[in-house]
Amino acid sequence: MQKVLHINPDKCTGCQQCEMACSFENYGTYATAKSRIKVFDFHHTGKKVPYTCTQCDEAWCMHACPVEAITVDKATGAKVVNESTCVGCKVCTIACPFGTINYVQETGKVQKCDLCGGDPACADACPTGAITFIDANWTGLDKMKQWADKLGNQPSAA
Amino acid sequence: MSWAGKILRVNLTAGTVKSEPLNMEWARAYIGSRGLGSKYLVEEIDPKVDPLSPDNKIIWATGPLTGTMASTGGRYTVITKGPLTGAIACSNSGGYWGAELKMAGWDMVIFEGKSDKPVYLYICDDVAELRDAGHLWGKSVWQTEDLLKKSHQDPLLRISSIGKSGENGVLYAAVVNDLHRAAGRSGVGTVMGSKNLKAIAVRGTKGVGNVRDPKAFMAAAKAAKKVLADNAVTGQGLPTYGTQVLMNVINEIGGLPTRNHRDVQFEGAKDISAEAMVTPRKTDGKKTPGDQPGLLWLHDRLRPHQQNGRVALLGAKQARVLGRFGGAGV
Repeated sequence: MQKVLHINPDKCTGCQQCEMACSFENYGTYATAKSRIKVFDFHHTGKKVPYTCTQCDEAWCMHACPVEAITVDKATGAKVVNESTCVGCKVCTIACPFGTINYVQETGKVQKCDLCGGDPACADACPTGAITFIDANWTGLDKMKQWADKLGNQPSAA
Repeated sequence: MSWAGKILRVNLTAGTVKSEPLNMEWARAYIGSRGLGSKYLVEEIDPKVDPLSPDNKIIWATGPLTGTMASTGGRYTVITKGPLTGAIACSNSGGYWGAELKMAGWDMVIFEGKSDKPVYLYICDDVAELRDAGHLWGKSVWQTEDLLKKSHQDPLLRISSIGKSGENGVLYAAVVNDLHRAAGRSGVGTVMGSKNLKAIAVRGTKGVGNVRDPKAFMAAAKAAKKVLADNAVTGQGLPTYGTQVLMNVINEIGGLPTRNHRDVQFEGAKDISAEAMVTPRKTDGKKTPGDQPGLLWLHDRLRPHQQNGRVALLGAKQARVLGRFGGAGV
């Protein structure tokens, strides 16, 4: 079954364990500066929201790449950067409308979320369940359930 | 342990910034940022020094777990001789600043002397320099953070600074980082202001990596987090109600400062406890605004509150604030 990262911002506390886990998984160091997932702190509303690549099916990054360095991992559905092919032209970073693929000056290549090959470190590290790794076909289940509850699960008047 | 093995020594009188090796013997012998910073302070200043004189020193210290995935791994401590009591002032703060300093490759920053003009320290990995803060002096901590992020064109910059209180010698002035976190005890901000030091802005891209056995470390960190998650207080009480859940307990043991600490119990404690805040009010059936639950020690969820056309940000009402200044008979 193909799974996706599902983000529920209401549960996010801005703890950045996802960022730490991501950098640790990919670089062996705790470095939020190197993370592929970023948490945004909106001070005026007090909300924290994590964001990363949504693994587009018709990915702009994949199509923009002039050397075909980005390919699909058939098992996970993730769009993966092949670092030995990547030339660091950064055209993908311009093409992606969401900003989730970025240059890495230390390596001269780009990086993006690749779902850690099927066991994403961020979802594992998230202490509140703000990030989960679930069936790609049913990301709306939680919201549906909330409305089903309102519709049919309330105590009767009688 | 994840020590970077080096510290910054800043002489504000001379205007110099130097790197020096961390005293590893002390780092191993004295626990945490608090222990390490206290040892350095005690060894380096005259115990009789005037806290607001150039001869006092002020230290921003991290611990061996700062910047790792260990729980509470983002914190740092400001240590100096306190202006109110003349004792060692050790004030801890959360947020992101502490981890960022470690990720820049520094364990600690020590400030000596006094600058003749307002300055701030800018650290970006190996670069560490004093810069003019004339345009920041007189600004609040929020304005300071905003101005520094804009002038450096870096939204990821982390700032630890003082506002007008520290600049003007208020004896319990705080050092604030990341807008809402504070090293708020013992007037450490006053000492910072007495040195004409406005802020420390830090950006770290190196990361923390000197963990000898990463797998074992992660397993240990995970196990410790499970202990916190399974415990009724840290796993359910605090995440649901925030630190206000401690109000009744602290009152019962006779530890709730009341009427400027003339009393240690407050007869109305249960009416300002977390449980009371989530009970609908008799007057309008609503729950107390601002009862934003924290989650595992994180208590900085704010909501805009409109009143008289002005927007104030209500933080999760921490037990400490309500006990010491807010509702307890003051």
